[in-house]
Amino acid sequence: MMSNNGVNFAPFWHNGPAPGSFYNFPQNNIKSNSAIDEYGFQRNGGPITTGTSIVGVKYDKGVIIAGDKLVSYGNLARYHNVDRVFKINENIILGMSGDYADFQFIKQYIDEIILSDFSADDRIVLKPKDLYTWLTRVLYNRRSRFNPLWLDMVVGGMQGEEPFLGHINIRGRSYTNDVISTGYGTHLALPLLREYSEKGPLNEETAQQLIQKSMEVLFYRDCRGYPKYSQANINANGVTVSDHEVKQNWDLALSIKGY
Amino acid sequence: MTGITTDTRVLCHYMRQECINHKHSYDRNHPVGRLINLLKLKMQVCTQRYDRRPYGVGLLVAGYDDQGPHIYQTCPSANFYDCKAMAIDCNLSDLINHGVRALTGTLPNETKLNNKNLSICVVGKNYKFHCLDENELEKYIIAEIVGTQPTSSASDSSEVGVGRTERHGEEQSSTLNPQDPTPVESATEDRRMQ
Repeated sequence: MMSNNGVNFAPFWHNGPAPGSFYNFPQNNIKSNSAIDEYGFQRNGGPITTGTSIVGVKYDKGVIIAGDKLVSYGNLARYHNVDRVFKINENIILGMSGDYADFQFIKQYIDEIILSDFSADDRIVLKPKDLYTWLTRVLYNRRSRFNPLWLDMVVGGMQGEEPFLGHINIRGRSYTNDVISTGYGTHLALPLLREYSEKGPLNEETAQQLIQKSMEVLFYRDCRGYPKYSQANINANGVTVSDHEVKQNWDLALSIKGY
Repeated sequence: MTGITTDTRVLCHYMRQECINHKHSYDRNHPVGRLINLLKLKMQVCTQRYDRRPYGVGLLVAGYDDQGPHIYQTCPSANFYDCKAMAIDCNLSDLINHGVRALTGTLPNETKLNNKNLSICVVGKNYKFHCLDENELEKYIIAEIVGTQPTSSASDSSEVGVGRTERHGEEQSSTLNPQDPTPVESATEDRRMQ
């Protein structure tokens, strides 16, 4: 953690017991990448409370990231007023999908970075590419220890004058693009987004409409989807996080025999 | 740097390590002020522990980042000074000439500046960190020798050079303006004309 201000003092002894925690006597068969810590053996076995897709679109002057407001507990639609899109600082917005607990864990570290930027008070602010690279390094590191943070994240924002949009996945693979999607969005929304973004540059209005359409498709077709979604829009004027709802049309149902 | 060279090696290695780690984690160059803070802490620790001695080094750290150009001076006491040298409407060669003249003033009488005891490094906007090589150094050393020849215009020029920076001292922060160094002769001529 950063609380030491980057100064580490030499420990008093090595390879011995740490005061207050369990001490494992030296054994020959402990592998270096095992996840043994002071609470015993723990490893990420899979996501528990999950968020589904996130959709991100870069337009000429900014970025929009949207995701529905549902966090599921397996098949149960457990928490349905949860924002999965966040403002990090004036330059950065972040959307998460995957295990919500893992995200809360990493969000603490991100908040620490932002706080230490604020308390350094030297007008240096974190930019989206910085956070994007940092998250890649963290997620890749965890994957390399076979103990991943079960997350797919979308980082967007203003890198100086230019909009920035990037995706980091559970294995620490990252890439930047004009349109990004995670989870089921890759199958359902991304083809739609790519078709429109490749036609020509988007402006804010067309980007909004694209997002709206994608969220509609995702609600209809993703079984873990939800009609309410939140959206973060960042441009030179700042960040706005707003709530929206998909306009549902179930008239089709009336034409189904036996309905 | 001035002082114990081996201590400098340790500090330089530390700073390089920090910079490269920062670049790896954040894909950006380490902001100069933050790097200096880390260095400051490192140097302060050994002034407070009974079993350590201070780093016997005085450093002049110059850098350029998003916030602009920076110059920091460090002491073994771990006091750090954020310095500003102001110049307006000054191109790179003028600044370097000024610096070389300042250095000759610090030398004992018999010693002259030559390319063995002088090194000049430049960093700035769109200007990667660059140490001047022997040929470029020769130009400035010759300019300095020519400038100190006892003619009245030369002494005027030195006053004008100093005056210029003092007059505009309060106004703008320094900008290293990386135009190509103008040919030596015309640079000294310009100053004489004023």
